[in-house]
Amino acid sequence: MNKWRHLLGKIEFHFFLAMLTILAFIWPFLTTPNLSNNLFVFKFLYGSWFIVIIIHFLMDRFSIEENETEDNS
Amino acid sequence: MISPTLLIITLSIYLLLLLAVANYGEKISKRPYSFFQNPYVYSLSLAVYCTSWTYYGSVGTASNNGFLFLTIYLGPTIAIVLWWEILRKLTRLKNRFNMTSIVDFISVRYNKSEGLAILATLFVLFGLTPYISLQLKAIIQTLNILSATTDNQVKIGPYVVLAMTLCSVLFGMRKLNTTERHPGMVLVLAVECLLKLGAFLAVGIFVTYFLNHGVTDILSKIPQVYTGDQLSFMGHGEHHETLTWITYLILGFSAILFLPRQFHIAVIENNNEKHIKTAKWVLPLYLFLINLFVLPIAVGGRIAGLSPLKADYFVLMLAQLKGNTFFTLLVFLGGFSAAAGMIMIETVTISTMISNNIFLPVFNRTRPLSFLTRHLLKTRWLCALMIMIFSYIYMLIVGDQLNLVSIGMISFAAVLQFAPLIIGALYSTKGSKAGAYAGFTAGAVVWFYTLVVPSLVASGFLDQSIATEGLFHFSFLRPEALFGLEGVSSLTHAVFWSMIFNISCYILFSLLFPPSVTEQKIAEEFVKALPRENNEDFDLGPDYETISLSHKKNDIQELLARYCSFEEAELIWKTSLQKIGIESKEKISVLKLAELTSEVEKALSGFIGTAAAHNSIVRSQIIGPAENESLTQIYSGLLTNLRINPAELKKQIILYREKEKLMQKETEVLADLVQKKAEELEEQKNLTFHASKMAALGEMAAGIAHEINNPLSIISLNNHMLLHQIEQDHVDKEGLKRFVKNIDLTVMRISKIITGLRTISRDDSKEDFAMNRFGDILDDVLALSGEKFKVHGIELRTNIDDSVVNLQFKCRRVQLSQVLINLLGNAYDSVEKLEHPWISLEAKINKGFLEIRVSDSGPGIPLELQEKIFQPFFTTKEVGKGTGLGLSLSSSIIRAHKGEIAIDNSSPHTTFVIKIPITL
Repeated sequence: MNKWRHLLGKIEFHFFLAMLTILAFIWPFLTTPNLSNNLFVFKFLYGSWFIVIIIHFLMDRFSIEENETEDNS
Repeated sequence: MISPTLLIITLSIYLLLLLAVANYGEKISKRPYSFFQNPYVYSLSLAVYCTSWTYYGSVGTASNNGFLFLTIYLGPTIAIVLWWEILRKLTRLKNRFNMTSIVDFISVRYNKSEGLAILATLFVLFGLTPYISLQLKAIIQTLNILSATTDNQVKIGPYVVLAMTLCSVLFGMRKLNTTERHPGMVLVLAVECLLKLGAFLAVGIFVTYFLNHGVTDILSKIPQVYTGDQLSFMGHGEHHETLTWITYLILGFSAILFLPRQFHIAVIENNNEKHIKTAKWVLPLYLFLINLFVLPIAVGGRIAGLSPLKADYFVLMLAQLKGNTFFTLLVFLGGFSAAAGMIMIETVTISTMISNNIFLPVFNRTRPLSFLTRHLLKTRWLCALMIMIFSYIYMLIVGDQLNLVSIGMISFAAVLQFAPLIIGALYSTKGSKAGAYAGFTAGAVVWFYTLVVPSLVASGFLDQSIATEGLFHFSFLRPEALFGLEGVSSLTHAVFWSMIFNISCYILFSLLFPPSVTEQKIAEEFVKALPRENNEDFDLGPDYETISLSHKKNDIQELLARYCSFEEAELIWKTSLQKIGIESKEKISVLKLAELTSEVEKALSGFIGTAAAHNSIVRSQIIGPAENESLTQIYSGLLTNLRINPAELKKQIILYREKEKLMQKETEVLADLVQKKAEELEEQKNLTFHASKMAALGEMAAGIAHEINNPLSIISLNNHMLLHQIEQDHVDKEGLKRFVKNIDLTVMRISKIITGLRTISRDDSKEDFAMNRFGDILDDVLALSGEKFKVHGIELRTNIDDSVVNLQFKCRRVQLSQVLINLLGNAYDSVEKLEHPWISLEAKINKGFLEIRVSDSGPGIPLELQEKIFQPFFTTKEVGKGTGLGLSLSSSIIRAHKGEIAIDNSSPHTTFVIKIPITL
């Protein structure tokens, strides 16, 4: 797991994931021929959204993010 | 149509239930491990983001603008990716500075500026009024739809305003210390979020699968209800759609972070950083689910023949089509929850800001009003009423001209003005108070001019000429085409210009007027909020303890008494003393006094906000001029003693921090190594265990060989007898039968020995615990050991009831057999040379434990050896006979079974007792 953390730290994982998410959410505009296909757009947006949720779920379950000292009150 | 009486009764019951939930939440939160520690409650309460705008407005937007509504939820999903970095930083800063709101955050970072706090509070009030008015509009409109009247808006409006004010007070403003969280309100929000999601999904399923035949069916009907460019749901209309899409994404992104209520729930109400991780997937999942049926409902409404002008209320109108009053009321309550939840939390946060940042400074500076500082809570109630009335008036003026989403977007664009200041605060030390003032003011003015003015013009409140000809007839000042920028939506236009002005002024003025030394110090704390630093306690020693603590206590309590009760003041005093560790002292040094003042300031900021608390402390002069002077001298003296100038000191600190980072990295590498070694050791341990088992089997090999050899002799003898009878042609039928029976029995005996051998040589250390019969374990053990005892004349005494033999319990069969073989083997070694040797094996059930006793006729184990015998590689046997691992491994096996193994010293003979829980 530490290897993963190290690797993720190197590529600024959050930034990378945010960029991917942004790309997914504006992708329909980049594929103009498909704009008229409502069903395709529906599936694409909700599908990519769901994938992002799954990634976050896995990150939570497998503690992929750094486990720094907490500062709770 | 539903009668008004039924509506009022339903709403009253619902609100009473919520109040009970709030009270329960407050009560239970004081218990350890209560729901308050549950990340799902925190995550669900964050879904207060979904207001009536989502519940009703999204369908309206989807009906007219296709997928555009999704951006309001996709934007937050992008922001949530960065939450672990941003939100964690914000929560740590909140804990460190005792912040109570987003305005507090800005004020603290920019030199605890009271002026900036006032400016930001006023802006929040004006900026979010449209948003609250949107919720009021939704409640009033849905009540009108249900009661089938159209002109009730004015009649029922004031009652809704009063009811919502009352709810805000009851759920979130019953006590003063806002730093203390509101577990009751958080629980209510979580419950409301579940209800609105359930109700919305119910309508979605009804429309999609009962009124139509699924999502594909609905989307395929779009050409029947839409025409021309509306056929493409990705966007239509006159403006550049990509820019509108991106603008909405940006606004959604900033709203989830910077809307005051989101900031309050996400940051102020957060009591555990780990909850953020759960919220990172629960909240997007919630947003995903609540938006799943928006498009089907929007198109479904059109298919059902509902007017596009009423698209905002398709959810409720379609629910009415079912003709079931209960279903309609459920959907109404879902929408009511969405609106009421937002109103409550938004009103609580804005009221706190207004009372702390506007009224309190006025009360403090105006002597005749100073008595009001003791009535802050009531002031907040008054603020809540003001906010509600203000929102209602806005609704009456503008509400009918705009749809729900258009009203909401005005507020989202307002909230965006906080973004440069907060992001600058979190990631740069160069932003200054002057920059914050300039950037925020410029952004706010442009926002007002480009978004609010056009909405007021549209409602007829302002003259049309401002929109068409521009301010003072300057065409480049047209609010929707500022500096000639045309061809984009008014929202994109407003966001573009307000951000250009905001960011430019923030950077420019920060460069022109850089932060002061004090501000620089705060800025560094903000930027480096994540890695926690260890602050070592430092003091000057007893010679410098000259300040009387009792005098300071009077000063501090006098100050605190202006804002809170005597008991609260006493509690703050005691807690502050404890935190610094001076509760037992009568006199303290000036350094400790500075620490004490800082602690009191933090606590006080929970009541009156950070900026006001700072100013009160400064004005009260708890640290007098003489003490201030000596504080300066001490700091100078410290630097002189260290023979270091401030610049060098800073360099050294940076150097040490770099070293610390390096060490942290090294620690991680070491941790990896240790982990690897631990895994290797575990593997080694398993191998050793197996080897020891094999060694034990090896030791038994002679016995086993003998054990198999004996029956083989018997078989051979019987065979021989059989052959003899056949050769003599004298076959005795009975004798024949006896010989065959003997052979059969003997083969079975050999088979049993081999089965035991195979079982015991298997490695089950990595297998799960399974149900096993104790009798089977005994069979394995006795099959392998019994014959050896018999051959060497050792009497084996067993005393085990049938109930114990048939006992089923969870264990690892091979491992337990191994333990018993070890013990019996040891017993054999110690008694084989004695006269009349015996070994006893007893078992019974005792208080939920299986108790096994293995005794032998030996004299017992000397006390001095008893501690050592369970240690690895310790043996009393002669060289080559024992590995020294048997008892050590037996002990670890029994521990793995959550049991214990010990020597019974009360027995005159050697007795080992094993206890294993039978309900593992």
